[in-house]
Amino acid sequence: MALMPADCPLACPAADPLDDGLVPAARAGDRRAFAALVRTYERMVYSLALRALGAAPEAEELAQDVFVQLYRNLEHIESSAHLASWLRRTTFHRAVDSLRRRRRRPATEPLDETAAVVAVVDGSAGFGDPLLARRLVSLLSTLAPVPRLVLLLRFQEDLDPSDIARELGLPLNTVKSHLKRSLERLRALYQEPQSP
Amino acid sequence: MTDPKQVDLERALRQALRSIEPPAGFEERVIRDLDSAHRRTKGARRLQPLAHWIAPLTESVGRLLWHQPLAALASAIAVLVLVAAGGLSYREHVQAVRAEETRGQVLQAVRIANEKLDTAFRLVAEETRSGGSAPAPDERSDRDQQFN
Amino acid sequence: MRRLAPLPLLVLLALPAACFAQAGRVTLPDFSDLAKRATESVVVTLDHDMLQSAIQFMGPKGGDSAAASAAISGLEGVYVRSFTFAHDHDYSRADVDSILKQLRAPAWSPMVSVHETTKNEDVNIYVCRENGHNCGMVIVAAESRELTIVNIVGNIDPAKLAQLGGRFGIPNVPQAHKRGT
Repeated sequence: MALMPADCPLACPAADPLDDGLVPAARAGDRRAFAALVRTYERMVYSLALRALGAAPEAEELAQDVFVQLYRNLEHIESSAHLASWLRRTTFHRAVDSLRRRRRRPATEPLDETAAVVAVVDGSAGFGDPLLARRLVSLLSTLAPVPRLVLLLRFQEDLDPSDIARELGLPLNTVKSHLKRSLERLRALYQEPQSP
Repeated sequence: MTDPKQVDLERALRQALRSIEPPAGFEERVIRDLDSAHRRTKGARRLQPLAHWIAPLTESVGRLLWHQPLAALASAIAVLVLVAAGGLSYREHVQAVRAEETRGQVLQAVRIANEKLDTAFRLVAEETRSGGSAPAPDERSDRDQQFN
Repeated sequence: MRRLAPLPLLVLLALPAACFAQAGRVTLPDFSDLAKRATESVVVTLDHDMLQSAIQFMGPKGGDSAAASAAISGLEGVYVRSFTFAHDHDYSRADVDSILKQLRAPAWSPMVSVHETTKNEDVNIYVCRENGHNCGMVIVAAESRELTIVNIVGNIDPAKLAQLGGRFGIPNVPQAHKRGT
């Protein structure tokens, strides 16, 4: 995936040949173009927020805020690729801030029930091993905010560690370290659930 | 469930973390947020909620009732007309109650289903820890095979 | 003059009920005797019409109502029978087996089938597939003092349901195994 460096717009190419014209149109005030941008990226933003925060109402609110913020910052977006990077970075930082502000909650606090039902009827994911998926998603909540989001960018968005580092402005070794420790922790927790 | 020791964790994470659609109407709500913000910045006056109109009216009716009963009756009728005009009908109330009950029952069903998934996971995990391998989903027990 | 029912109607009425079986739905036994013995019962019966009526009233509002509407609009039916008893296995295995027998039909695939021998408990989870789409899910949980059957009819993804691990009022996974029955 071609990504723009985190210090865009200075380093961005003048024109992205794959740009479908939505960004300039949205920047010019075309609401339908902006709505099309939302449709294009809503799944990515919402999924990151939901897996990071673990609560659908918060995730939806965060995702909506990200897009409202995008609308206000369209002048700084140079291309579709830059846009995807901007959205991931903004979602990342807002989610980390939200997680850090959140008070400690007991392990049994229930997820919003309506969101649970919504998730149930989204049949797009196919089968897989539901119990395994359930366990892994649950174990994500044991990770600290930054490593959790780095893991999501790696395995949900399929970004390389170098892309994650460039996008978030983190040292590459830090990203690699987060991934390595997170996977080790998940593997240990998954294989020995009764660890002391 | 897959034997924990045989799980390709990275592949499993990719499968488990496939992206999810936001709730229906998400795009419309974003646009509505933008429109709301736009109206606020233009200084548009918001409509008062119905209750803000009702409260002072009922206070007035109360004062009138003490001093001028007939005038109070006329005012009370006016309040009732306003309430009806606001769309607070009994039929809608019944429909709202039923819709809420249905919603509650759906959520209860999903809650119970999730609880039983948890039970299944617990049984599989216990069997795995005791040294047995979790049965593959297409294996059939002797008990099941009697129905073939 | 007394009129006889039209012949086509008579023929239709004579056809086995299975011909009209809704994809993804199983026939639940009459559990009225079981309910009398149970200390606690949960019975949920929501067919398509009831779910759609709820959607029409909820309307296109934002947030919670919209999410609930979206969830319900994908479902054709929701059926739950859950009974809790004061004594172990105070229910007949025949009731459980009658449901499992229906799940031998080609449209149904077993997702999980686990049996715990010391307490004689088992949980079976089946998913219905038709024309490449999910058409329903059945969970049959026969525990020592609780019998639960859940049948959700419609385009339901068990993986999505399972991704709610640790939520919904249930302890997080690392603690789940510590719960007794």
